[in-house]
Amino acid sequence: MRVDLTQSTAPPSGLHSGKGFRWALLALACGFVLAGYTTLALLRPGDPALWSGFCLWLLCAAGGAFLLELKLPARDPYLYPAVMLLSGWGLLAIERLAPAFAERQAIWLVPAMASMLLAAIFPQALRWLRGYRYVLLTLALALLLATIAVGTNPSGFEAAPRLWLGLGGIYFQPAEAMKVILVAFFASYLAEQSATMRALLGKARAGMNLSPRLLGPILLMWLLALLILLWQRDLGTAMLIFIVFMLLLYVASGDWRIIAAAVMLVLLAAFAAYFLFDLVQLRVDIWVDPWADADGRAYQIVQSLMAFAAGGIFGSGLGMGAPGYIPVAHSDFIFAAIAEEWGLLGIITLVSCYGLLAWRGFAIALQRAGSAFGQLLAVGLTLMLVAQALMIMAGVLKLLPLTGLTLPFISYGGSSLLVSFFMVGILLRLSASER
Amino acid sequence: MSIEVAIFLLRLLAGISLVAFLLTLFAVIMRQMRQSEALLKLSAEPQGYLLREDEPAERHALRPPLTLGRAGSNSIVVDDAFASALHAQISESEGKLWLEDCQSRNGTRLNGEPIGGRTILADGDIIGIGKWRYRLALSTRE
Amino acid sequence: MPFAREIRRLLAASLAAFALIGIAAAYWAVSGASTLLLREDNPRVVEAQRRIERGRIFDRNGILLADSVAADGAFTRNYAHPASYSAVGYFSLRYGSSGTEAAFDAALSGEREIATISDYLRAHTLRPPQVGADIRLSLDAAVQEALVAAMGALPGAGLVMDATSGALLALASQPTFNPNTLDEDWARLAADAGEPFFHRALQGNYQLGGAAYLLLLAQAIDSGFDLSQQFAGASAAVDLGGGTTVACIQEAPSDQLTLPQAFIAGCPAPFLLYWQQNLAGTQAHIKAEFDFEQPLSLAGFPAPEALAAPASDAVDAGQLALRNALGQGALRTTPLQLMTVLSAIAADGSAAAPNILAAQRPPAAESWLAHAPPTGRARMFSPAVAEALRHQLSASWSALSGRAAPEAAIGATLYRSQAGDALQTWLLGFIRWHDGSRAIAFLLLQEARVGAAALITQSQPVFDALLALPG
Repeated sequence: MRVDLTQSTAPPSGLHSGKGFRWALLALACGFVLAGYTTLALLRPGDPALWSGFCLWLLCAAGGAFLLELKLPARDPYLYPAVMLLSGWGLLAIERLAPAFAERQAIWLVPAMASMLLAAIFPQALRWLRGYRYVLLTLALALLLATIAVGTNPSGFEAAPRLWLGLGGIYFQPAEAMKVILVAFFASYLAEQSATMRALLGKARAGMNLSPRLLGPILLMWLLALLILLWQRDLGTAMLIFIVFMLLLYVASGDWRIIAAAVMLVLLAAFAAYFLFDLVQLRVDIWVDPWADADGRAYQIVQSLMAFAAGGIFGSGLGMGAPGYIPVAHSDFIFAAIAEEWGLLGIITLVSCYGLLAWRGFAIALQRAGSAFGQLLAVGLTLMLVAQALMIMAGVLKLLPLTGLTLPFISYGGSSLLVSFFMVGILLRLSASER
Repeated sequence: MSIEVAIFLLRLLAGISLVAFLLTLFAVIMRQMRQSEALLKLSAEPQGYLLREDEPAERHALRPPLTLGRAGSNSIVVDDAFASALHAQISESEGKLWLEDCQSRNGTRLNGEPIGGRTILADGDIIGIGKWRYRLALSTRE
Repeated sequence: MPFAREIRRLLAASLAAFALIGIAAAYWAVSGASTLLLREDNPRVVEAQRRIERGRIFDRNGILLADSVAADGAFTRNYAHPASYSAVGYFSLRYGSSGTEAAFDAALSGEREIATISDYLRAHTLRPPQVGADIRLSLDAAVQEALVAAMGALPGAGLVMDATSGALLALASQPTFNPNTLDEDWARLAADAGEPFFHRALQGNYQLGGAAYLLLLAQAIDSGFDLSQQFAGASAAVDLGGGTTVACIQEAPSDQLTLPQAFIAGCPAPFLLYWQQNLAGTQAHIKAEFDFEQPLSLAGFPAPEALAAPASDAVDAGQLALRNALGQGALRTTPLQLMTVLSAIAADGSAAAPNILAAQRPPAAESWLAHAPPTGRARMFSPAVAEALRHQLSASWSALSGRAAPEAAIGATLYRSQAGDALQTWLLGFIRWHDGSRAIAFLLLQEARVGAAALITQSQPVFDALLALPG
């Protein structure tokens, strides 16, 4: 008989299956991060401050594991160790690339972990996301609008996009919160409409199942969010939200024509943006041929590819490479910096972790048969994380034009870390409340 | 130990941790797939049946784990005054079926004898809870 | 189950996309090593160079000429002795190297020694800078300074060579560059019509000019010609055809001159007469013994271009032979080449191969390892001829400077060479201690018409510096 990967669930409790591997995975992740920090400490004697990052990470990892074991023993057992490995790896890479930013990022890990635990342990979080969807969405849109008026950029560059709201030295990117709120909104709305849509599919005239009457409110909200993001020149997030929405619509309606329409729309939008935005034009041009201007506008992508080449299969070793040549390596291009120092083996592990995230996320969605909202929410959150990781990794590898997104859990950026952890918290909750 | 040796060993340790992380994940996933395969096979075809001695019409498919007790949430509801809410459970491990008393007030009997810890079940065994008695009829497997 | 089919498709698509990412990463990691990393703009190559601590360069007495200064984990080259810029050359991450820096690059940049596992691990973890060997040149800072001062601001070349060992005591070319600010000045220097990167002393390709008088005089002495024979019409200018004439450098004392007298005044006519009477139809001695058609180069330094004569203006064969006899024809030379001839005169008729490296000191080593000078000498004159020529040069120097030779024998001659519009004034000199313990040859070339008295005065400090050399 056919064995379906996605059908497999966590071993039922009580059976002689053993939960030891959860701790083993966490211990291995811990060993990896500790070895990295020790190497950095040996290479940078007289800088004990770097240990604060490791201690915070270890505290978060251990505290989170105990609380989850206590409150949510039936959760999906793979997600948490994978996410902790990624976040520890990210902290380590930032400590190596830009020590000035490392402490800040480590401190952000605490609220991020707290938000994950809140979402995972308290079922209210899920209910609120559904029940107050209009309030939350309005709030998020308002914050997004506020960034247009009073937005700043922590880097302080005049020309940089002002996507942050600053308060007392803490900067938050409302676009990040927008991601999770929009997914919850789409999921709850589509969960109510999906039965109608599927019933109409194939029976009535083509396209009836996607009539504006069904999709009106959601299209409106979606267009509003996209417009604001485009206004802010946050094209990466706009593209991400567009893709996730189209894929969710596909899942809800079961209509493959959505995918075809999405591809057409993306190409059309890219074509229009090429002429409307100088930034898009620049990025597409250097994507098509970076070698023509390797020392100028394409410097970053060329240096990124060189980092992959310099890393080879085994990498140069932590602290031994020269990823400093890639501009802002600790943010958008952290994937290339990791490639240089940990090599292809490191990259394969990293990509496997994201692959695991995708697999578990979608498996959780499949397990939640019976709750359309839960299913669509799990699909949406997983898609958000996976699509974001894929877009930036493909950009760094010159498979796609650069989109200016962060690599979830790894890149420098507090808001991104917090929201990514919150999403994982909801996925954990969804994985546990099935039984 | 000189610093360069230490750094080299640390690099080795980090690499081994990463590979071990991946291999552990892979191993667990493989095991789980095998288990779910077994589970699916079992769910399709029960290992046998539990037959109520005094009420031959009552027949329960044997798909471990299953629980016996007075509460409605049990796999087999034993509506007897001497039965506890969760009375006993039958589980499978190491290819054998195990009967275990769940600290019931009045105990569980196997072929008339009260059981202590976990006990292996065999075809034809009679499980007694209160006045109710179940006979285990295992389906023959090839 | 609702949505199951769509979710499975999404999962499959996601996993395929991640696999694609892995394949792309593998592609760059594996294929990039032979393509991307070899690109000129790969900063890692430059970084590796920057992390090499090049050895220091000293003069013969241990005066620092160049060293590497550590800054931020990398090294920059510092050149401490302006007078020796043209001899030491430059080392630039962007523009490569030249001069001594290029000639002894292998020693200066060194090689990381990996003997033990610990060495190997250290090289791959702590990455200690690669340290090169120090080198000690045969140059003498004081002589070098005197030489550069004597050259003044005019373009030209200068060479001082120990005639017994062939060691160069000074080596200069003008105009030159400041290697400390090379990267900043590069565009300007590269566009400079004066060609500051062209080393005139080693690469310059000049008309033999009046040096031919010296060679003719040597031939006359060698053949036993009566040097007291006077030639009439000695002060007249000689017409070489094609509108070219050569005349005396200095005012001739009379119209009747012997060959030695003509040599002192730099008058061409007596040499022409001597050549027509004795050697017409041959010039074998110049070709064979001095090897002017085989340009000589200093090991490791840029070789001069082939010394081909520029296209001659239309003159008949007779006039061409005439030109060759007087050094105005096809024969050309580099200052270094002429220097060997001069050093053969200063020594006892044979010349050692010129060399500039005195000793090396490996990194972390205490003592210097002397560099064995090249052995073998090229015989150019018999000892007697060399002594007679020294005598003639001393007489010439006394006449030019109006001074008697001090404790050592000093000699010098002066002449001009000309090809087309370019005109050079040369001074060839030597110092030889009376006991023969030491002999030094000295060449000064100015690419301009310089008066005899001025040039002698200018070069006097060089002779003084040479006389002041420690035993």
